[in-house]
Amino acid sequence: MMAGAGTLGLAARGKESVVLEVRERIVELIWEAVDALNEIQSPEARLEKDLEAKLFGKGGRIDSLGLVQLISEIETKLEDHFGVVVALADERAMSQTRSPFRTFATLADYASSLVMEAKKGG
Amino acid sequence: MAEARVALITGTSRGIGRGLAEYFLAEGMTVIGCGRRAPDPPLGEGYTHHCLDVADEAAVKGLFRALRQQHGRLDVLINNAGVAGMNHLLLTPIPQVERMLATNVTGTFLFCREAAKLMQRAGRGRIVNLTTVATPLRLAGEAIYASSKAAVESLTRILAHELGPFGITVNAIGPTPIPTALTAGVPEEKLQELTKRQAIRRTATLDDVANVVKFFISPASDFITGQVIYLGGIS
Repeated sequence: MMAGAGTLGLAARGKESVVLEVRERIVELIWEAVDALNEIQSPEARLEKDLEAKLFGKGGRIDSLGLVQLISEIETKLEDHFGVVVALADERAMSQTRSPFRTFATLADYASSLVMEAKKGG
Repeated sequence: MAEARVALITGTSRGIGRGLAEYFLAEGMTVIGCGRRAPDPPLGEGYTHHCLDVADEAAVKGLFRALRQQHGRLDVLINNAGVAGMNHLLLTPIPQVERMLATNVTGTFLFCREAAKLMQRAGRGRIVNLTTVATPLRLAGEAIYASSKAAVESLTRILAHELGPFGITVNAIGPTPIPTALTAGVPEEKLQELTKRQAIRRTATLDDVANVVKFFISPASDFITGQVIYLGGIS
């Protein structure tokens, strides 16, 4: 029984560490997308790489067109890196009461959940 | 020396697509083409072919993945792949309707979307869609073909607005019939009837198409977008 619980615990930890690894990689990909976007932005519109900074919505640093560019760049990077096609800005994201685009951290969480889901499905 | 411009043309197996690929290669551009079959005889150096159905999202995404890895950029997209078909409404089967809408509308949309993702990184790009004079002429017997191209014209005009802020222009050219495989099945008297409605009464040539495409993709044409140009004086 103990052994069973231990095995289960290990399996759970394994899954957790995979999720953490995926999220970590996604944050790196988000920063790559930010770099690409900043390259074509005017200096005052450039984004800081701060996970907790307000991104989109009230007090956000990015307008809707900037968000479209950022999301499309991140989707492309997720596709190239993980080999999965995810739609970050579909009806599901838009209908959430708490938008996944509030901060880079919430965006990374949302993208991680979609990538994990897509990997499981694929 | 400046790096060669990278152009992607759909439907390069034959007809206008193949002709434009040859024209771009002669201009020193790098050309990526696609179609269900590879061009025969093959196109020369600087040309890469992807065998696919333009409405197959997974295959199209695969093409763009390869394009990103190999070139990292895209300067020009020509949405040329198209399926035509003449039939009376009363006799048109749904698979024919679905086929035309998938290739002409979904295919064009898909390539515009994926190309724009790549072009917006550079803050510039040129998209040219192929339409037809059958749309403004409201040709009987071409209900679905003309409707599918009416959708392409709407896409052209709306995407011009959506992509304008990214420095991407979107325009369309509507040739009058050119002797290609697409018009091979059209009866001769129908073609003559159509020519009579043009301001300049002759069939089009590939050079006529290339001339307009060249204008649309010129770096100097960065203030020309959302336009549909028909050949032969059709409006």
